[in-house]
Amino acid sequence: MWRTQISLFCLVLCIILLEATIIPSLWSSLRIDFLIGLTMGLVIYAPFAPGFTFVLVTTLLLQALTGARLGFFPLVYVVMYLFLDLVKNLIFLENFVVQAISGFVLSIGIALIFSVMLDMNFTRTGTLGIFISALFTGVVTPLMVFIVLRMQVSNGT
Amino acid sequence: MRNSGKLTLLVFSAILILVLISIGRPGYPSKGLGFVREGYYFLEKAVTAPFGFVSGIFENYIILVDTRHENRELKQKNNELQVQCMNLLELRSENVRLRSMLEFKKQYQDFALHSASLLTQDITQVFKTAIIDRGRNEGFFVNMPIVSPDGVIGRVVAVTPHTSQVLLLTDSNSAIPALVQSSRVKGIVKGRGEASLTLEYVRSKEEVHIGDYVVTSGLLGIFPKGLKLGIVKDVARDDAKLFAEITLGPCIDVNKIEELFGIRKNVANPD
Repeated sequence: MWRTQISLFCLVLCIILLEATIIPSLWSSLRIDFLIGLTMGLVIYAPFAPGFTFVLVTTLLLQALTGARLGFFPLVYVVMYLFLDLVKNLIFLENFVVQAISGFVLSIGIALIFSVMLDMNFTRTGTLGIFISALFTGVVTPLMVFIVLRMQVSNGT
Repeated sequence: MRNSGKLTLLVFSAILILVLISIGRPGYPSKGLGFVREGYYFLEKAVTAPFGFVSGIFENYIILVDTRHENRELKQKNNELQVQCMNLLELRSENVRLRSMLEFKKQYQDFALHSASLLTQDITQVFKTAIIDRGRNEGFFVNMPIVSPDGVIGRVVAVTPHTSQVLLLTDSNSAIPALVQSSRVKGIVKGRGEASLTLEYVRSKEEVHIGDYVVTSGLLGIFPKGLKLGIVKDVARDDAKLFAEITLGPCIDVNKIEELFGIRKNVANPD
């Protein structure tokens, strides 16, 4: 289990570099959410306790790189984890098309939750940025799920 | 996993998040958050250092070995000249930037400028914050204005020894007292979480025109007076409403920030 956790932590370090430095330097409005795919992969392929704890700890660390109020960022991802844990028995999350669509919908959903909580009104440009970011998130989500699966398999868990 | 264990974990995490939400104090990051930001500072330096090392070896050793052969040396010189030509273009644009910085510095002589570079931007789409590579050790402090020669970028909201978190003026939590440069009408410039800003609490009958510059008013004492915030892009007046709806375009483009400064009152030059 520890080998998987360490591998996942290394993956999170790569995600941070991508999300916080590399992608914003290419286009400041683009935010690809790799965490959605990571969370989905843990929901599908990892037991509840280590998966849930990993998402909680990771998001607690990642809130240092966001302007969200303390605790708000982990709350959103923990709720998303529980939601996915609930719906994994209702929809076939192992299918990569379902994963891509779910990634897209969840990315839009998270942006909506943040904007509703902050009472924001987006213009066309802002909406376009969110939409394109969600499209990219939808593309990388199955990839992240696959990486989590490979980690679980290679570490024999 | 048994249901009781699952429930315990959920209750524990709910309590942890509730405690975190309730103890959050703006400007005072917890040791944990500070540790993560500091960790990221060193991680970013550690990741970029090997690339610099490898390129250093390439430039200082391998190319020197090649210069043994005269023909290759000439080719190398030719390449270098081509690179120099490119560098000259870069130097020219840098010269323009530095000139504007110098003019900016002359304009605000009674303020000390501390240069900094962008380390990361916010990982969410909605919040507009950034982390810069200067912190408490370099004299940065909470509420320090962060500017570029083109205008205001934002203000520091949290500091660690080597990093500072900057709330950009485009964030929806940002509100800066401002005035219209031509008519001296006062208002509050607020972020919208995207590229545009709004100038609020300006009465409909006041003189505001498209193309007017909006600058800081100096109220509250955080920002010095006269720093550029944005340009009026649209003015919507409605007789039924007390205030006009004014949309601004910010003077800075977060995509193109290269040099940024933290500014503080110069104690060595109180005049």
